[in-house]
Amino acid sequence: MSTTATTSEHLIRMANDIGAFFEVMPDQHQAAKDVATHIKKFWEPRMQRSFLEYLKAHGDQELKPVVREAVREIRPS
Amino acid sequence: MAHAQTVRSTCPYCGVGCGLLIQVENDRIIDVSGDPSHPANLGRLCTKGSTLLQSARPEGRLRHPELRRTRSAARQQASWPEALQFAATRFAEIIRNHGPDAVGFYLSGQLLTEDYYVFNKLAKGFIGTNNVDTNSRLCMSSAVMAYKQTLGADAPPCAYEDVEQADCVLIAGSNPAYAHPVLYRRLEAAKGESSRMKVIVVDPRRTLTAAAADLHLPILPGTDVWLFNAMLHVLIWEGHLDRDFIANHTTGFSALSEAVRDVTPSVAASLCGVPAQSIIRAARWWGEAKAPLSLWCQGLNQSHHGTHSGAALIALSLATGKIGKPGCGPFSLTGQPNAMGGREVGGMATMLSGHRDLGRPDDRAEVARLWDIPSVPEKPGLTAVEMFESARQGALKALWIVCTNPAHSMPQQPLIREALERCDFVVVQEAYATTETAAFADLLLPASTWGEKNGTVTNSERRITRVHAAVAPPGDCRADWQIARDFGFALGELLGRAGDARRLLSFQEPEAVFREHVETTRGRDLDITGLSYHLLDTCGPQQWPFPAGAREGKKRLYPDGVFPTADGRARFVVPVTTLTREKTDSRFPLRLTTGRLRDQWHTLTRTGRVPQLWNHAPEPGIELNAGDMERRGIAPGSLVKVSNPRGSVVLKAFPSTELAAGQSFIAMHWGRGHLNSSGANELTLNEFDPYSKQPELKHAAIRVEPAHLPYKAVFLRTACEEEAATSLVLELADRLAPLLPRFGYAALRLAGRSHPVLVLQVAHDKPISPDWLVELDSGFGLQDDACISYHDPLRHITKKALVERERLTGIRLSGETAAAAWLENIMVENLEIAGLRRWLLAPMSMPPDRLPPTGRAICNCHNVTESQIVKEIRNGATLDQLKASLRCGTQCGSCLPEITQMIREAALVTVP
Repeated sequence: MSTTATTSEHLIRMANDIGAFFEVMPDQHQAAKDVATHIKKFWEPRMQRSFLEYLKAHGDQELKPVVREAVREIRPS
Repeated sequence: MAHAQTVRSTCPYCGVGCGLLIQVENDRIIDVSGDPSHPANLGRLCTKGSTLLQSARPEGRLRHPELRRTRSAARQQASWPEALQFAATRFAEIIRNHGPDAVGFYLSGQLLTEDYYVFNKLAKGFIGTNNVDTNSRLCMSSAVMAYKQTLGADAPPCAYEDVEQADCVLIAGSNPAYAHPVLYRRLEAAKGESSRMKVIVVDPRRTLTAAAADLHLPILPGTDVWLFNAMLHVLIWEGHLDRDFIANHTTGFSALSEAVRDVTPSVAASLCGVPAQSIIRAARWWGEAKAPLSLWCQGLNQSHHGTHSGAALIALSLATGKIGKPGCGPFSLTGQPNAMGGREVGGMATMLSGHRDLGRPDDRAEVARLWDIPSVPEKPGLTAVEMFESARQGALKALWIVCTNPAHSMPQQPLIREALERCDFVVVQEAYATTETAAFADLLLPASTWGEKNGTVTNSERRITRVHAAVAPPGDCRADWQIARDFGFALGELLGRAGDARRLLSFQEPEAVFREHVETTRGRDLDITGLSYHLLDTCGPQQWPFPAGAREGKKRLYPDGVFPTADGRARFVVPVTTLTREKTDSRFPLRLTTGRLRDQWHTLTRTGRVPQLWNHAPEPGIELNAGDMERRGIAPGSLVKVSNPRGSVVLKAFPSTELAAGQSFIAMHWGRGHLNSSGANELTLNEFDPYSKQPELKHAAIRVEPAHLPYKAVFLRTACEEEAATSLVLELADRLAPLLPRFGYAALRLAGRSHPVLVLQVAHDKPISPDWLVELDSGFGLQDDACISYHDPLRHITKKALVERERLTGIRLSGETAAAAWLENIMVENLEIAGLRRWLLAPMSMPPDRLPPTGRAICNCHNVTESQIVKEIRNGATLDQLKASLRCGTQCGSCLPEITQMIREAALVTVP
């Protein structure tokens, strides 16, 4: 049952949930930082890896803007 | 020493009256099953009946009398002599100063016949008031008056087996798939075996009963008289009448046929909102049938013209001469287990013992002679709505409420609350301490309940069954008839009529009450002088009449076409042509209809305590047409304010495919025990039918708009072990219910089965006060030092998780509640939290990993969820394959209509 598609869909939704939580803050940079901190702190490396791989392959159109900005923070530049 | 025994009883829920076998060991009920020898159910039970064992628990039971001597004081535990003496003093004072009509008794269709008999005799025979009414006034009172106006007596003429022998079944204003499941199983089986049987369902909603029918007539609420008149019009026009029967056995046909002359199917179609062709087809099926049977219930009865709705339906049986024969007749279904028995003893404000008429001097004289008193009062008593209205206006000063919950079930709740506050002295005799009505009691008297009582009940098909006590009642609980008797004795002393009280009420056991009741039926339509406890115990349940010398009761009434009217003829009644009492308009544009759920009963005092009975319809809410929701910008599951000039409630809105545009539905089960309002009955109106005095509980005009309550909180609580969890959850729910009204929205419900979870959802227009949150925290046992916490004061977000022995047992989310659903699921499944620990307070609407499937349970016996069934159906499973693979529908069968409907819907989607 558990295919890559559903897993990635799941990770996108989780990321957007967290985005929705922080995006109500007045300072959007701070919000993006908080999203990034949350993902780095709570997500297992395996989850972070497949999340980033998925974004690399499919683009980040499904993500909320605040999460997109957060992803730039997470990604080793 | 274990000593197991089996005791015969009946189910305390609907009027089908299923027989039960209760297994008892060491004064504890250890199993409950259907009685295979009982003619009503032949061993079957529905979801509600089959979970009676789980309902027999100590939590919430009232165990001792409780008394407050002044309104401002809290109630204190009292002894029985103290309680009865106080009650007698207050009643005596009021009767002396204001007369006997200043007191009233409001009884219940759930009492046993013997309980009713003693209360009725106490009020009418001893105190001298006819102010004795019951909640059957809200239930089948209109059916009673329809029977009396047409057939001459309060007697459903049919038997359950007619459902199997009919070839056309017209179900009107009734959803037996939910409300009378075991009878519906019999219909389902008969329909499966006979390709000739046609089922027609008249219901504004496309219920599962309607969806499974050959023809569904989704008429607009309140237009039923027009439909039946148009059907009669077609029967006349197309020559389907039994002219001989009409000529020899009825009166009034010419007036009725005159009245329906212009009611053509197209005229009715424009009012009822169904195609004329459907009306013609329904009439033809009825007219062509060898054995047409009608079944009706609250949809017709709970209307301001409920009596005439019933009479118009009965006319179809009379006009075609289809009555008194196998498979034929007009069959009213009873909502309560013993509303029938209550009326047999005359336990209502408008009748006397043995179906005697209060308005007839000879009937009154006969009852006075039977009771050996000078006279019974002549003035009709106050019926349910009138009784509470009189209390509200201050005329009725003492009210004794037994085994029913009017502070939830009566229409127009704001007025009922006023009445209970205004009334000088309110006594509530109850098994449960926490009903909505108990909150208003000056004196609470602990009564025994199902499994603890001894006596008889009568079901919808006039069948009397013996009920045996299986266990002793807890604490100081006593039988209802016994409480009435002992109160009568105490009152007799104070009124200086101790001798009268002893003479009238000196019953030593229920059997003595039954014997006296039997004697009052001698020579009446319901003559049961051939019955005794001994006969019922040895020969099993019996239908009435069963006169002395008879060898069995009468399966069907009126086989010879002779009716219990003065001239022996049945009467056609020209019905009124009004529609609903309240019309919609631009301010209140939606129609609200009310009704019942499959797995709940009445006001949830019993079924609401069985966690698994919440799984089929997990959340309170209002159902709306999906298009109406879209037009109003209402998202599924969002909160809406539902209002009209009488009241306002906040509920979650759910889209429904059962409802036409412009209509809505709220189940009547949810009240202040589970919501911050009384639910549907805040909005219903107390206008009633002029003959039956039954209020229009089924329909009101309303407005629905989004509710802006942005500040949310969710509390969840369970314990690690099953028994501890059940006990904790039930006790907590009782304690928390009084806190609900302070919130803009609050819903308290149970989730899970053997390992239940208590769920409280709150929403408010302002940030929820920290004091209230602290109070709830301490109620839920979520004190700071025991919990993992997260706190964001700027955004009013606080989260707490309680973890005990690697299990999540408590949650509070306030300010942000995205994770509530999957956290609830973890608790219901009692999962080890292990790797989940760090996610518990994250703002995520989904769990980080896949968890076991959740969702609404369709099959409650085997806990099979909607998602499991849908998955199998998508893979092409048939009903038989589903039964084999998932076991759903293989035990009680209550879920079969829904599973069948799911398969039908899937087929519609996939057929090219």
